[in-house]
Amino acid sequence: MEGIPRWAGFRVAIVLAILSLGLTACDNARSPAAQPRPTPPAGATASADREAADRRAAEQAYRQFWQVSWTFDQHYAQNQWRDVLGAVAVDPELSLLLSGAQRQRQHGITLYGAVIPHPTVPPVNGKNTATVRDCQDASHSGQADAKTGKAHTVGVARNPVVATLARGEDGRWRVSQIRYPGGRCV
Amino acid sequence: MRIRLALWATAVALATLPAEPSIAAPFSGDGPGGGQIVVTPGDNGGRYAPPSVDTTVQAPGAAGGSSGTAAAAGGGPVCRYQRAADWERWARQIPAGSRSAGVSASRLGDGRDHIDPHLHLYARTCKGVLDYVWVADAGASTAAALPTPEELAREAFGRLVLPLPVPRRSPDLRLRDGSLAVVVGEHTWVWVDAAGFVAQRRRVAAGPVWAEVVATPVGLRVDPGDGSAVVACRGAGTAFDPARYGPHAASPTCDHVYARSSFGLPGERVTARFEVVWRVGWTGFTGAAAAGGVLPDLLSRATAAFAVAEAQALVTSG
Repeated sequence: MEGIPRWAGFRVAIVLAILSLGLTACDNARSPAAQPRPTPPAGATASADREAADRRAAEQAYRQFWQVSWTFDQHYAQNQWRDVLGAVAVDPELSLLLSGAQRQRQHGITLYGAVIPHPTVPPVNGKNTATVRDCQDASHSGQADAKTGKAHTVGVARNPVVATLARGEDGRWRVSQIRYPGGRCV
Repeated sequence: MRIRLALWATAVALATLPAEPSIAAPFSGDGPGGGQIVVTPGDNGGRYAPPSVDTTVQAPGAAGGSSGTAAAAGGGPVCRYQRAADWERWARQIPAGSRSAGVSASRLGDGRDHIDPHLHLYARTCKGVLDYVWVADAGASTAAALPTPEELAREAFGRLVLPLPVPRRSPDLRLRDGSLAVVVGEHTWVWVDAAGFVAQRRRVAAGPVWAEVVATPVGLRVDPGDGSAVVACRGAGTAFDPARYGPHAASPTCDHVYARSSFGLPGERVTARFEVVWRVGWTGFTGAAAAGGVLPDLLSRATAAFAVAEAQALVTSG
């Protein structure tokens, strides 16, 4: 008897009430204690700053990669794909994506939704390649029929992804490989 | 004497219409396989990872292996295969560095022109879902190419088809403006359709080696969407049955009481999230001995948006 309305037969009227919501004021004003900090050597500071900047840039590039690569074929003409994707990806991932999108278009398939990255970036240590580990939420995205919009696939909420990024001569990070290692998100 | 209902805001009439849950995906919940979407771990976009090797078939289709159908060994879905010679030529030119997870480099190679010449690229369509796979031709050395049961288990894992949960709730009211609602202060029963809460299996085999993956639903988690804690339910929850339970009874397995109306929230609604947790394990055979293991849990998820309305029920007399 699933789905039988619970109050069928009752003469009940429902009203939406205007509720006055109590607003809670948050007092976050705090006075930071003025404590002296030890000063690290200038070289160490610069190195730490560079490391932090590299990791931030790699993470940002990774997030941008997913935004662009998931929808580029819907927003740009096919003769622009390589340029658009080339801003966020390099081979072999670039070629895989270009061919994949082209094949999907031939078969009337498009992507819907968006994957939500939750990346962590291990130390870059000044190298020109970086690894990003992601426990991606893919549960609102997948493949769909391009004509009807009917969903064919949907991803899982905790989808492990490992990405390799390469720093180009222009200093930009781009994704060179996406792997799905299986296993659990850690 | 007629007692009138005081209306604080928009008066709405109770209707007895079934719920229409909104699925997490922005499209219909009906997939190409006839009522289900394929829940795909890994590359659910189907364009990020290189093609894997399909070890369950060999040179499928008609003479020359151009196209045809094949059923996965061990009773999987019937899949259509179509040779993709142009893409194969292209794939063999992909620069070095690309490799399929779970497939040894000796089979697929690790770069340009290293792909086994006995492997050919096919477009595979299973349950309406297209992907591309490498398939060994009849001349391939099967002894050297036999996969491990672990590899087959990963292949089977990737082909698991999980039904999307269908959220239900009670009370389940339709307001005059067509929106769906539950009631402030009432026990709201929540559950998912039992038909989608049963173990799902997928078995693949290559020669004497096989693996069978079983995903078993072990619980339902419901985020009521009102900021309160996630409700961990036993099983799939309990469908409300008016013949067994009173109108104000609490669900024995999965229940939430909304303390305030959704007025003032975005869209004047809450969005509840229903997650079914699937425990996944596999058993198999190496050709000489039994094998088995555990794979990551899977979640299938759907959402349902509805209003939480204040209610006053008054008896009419005279």
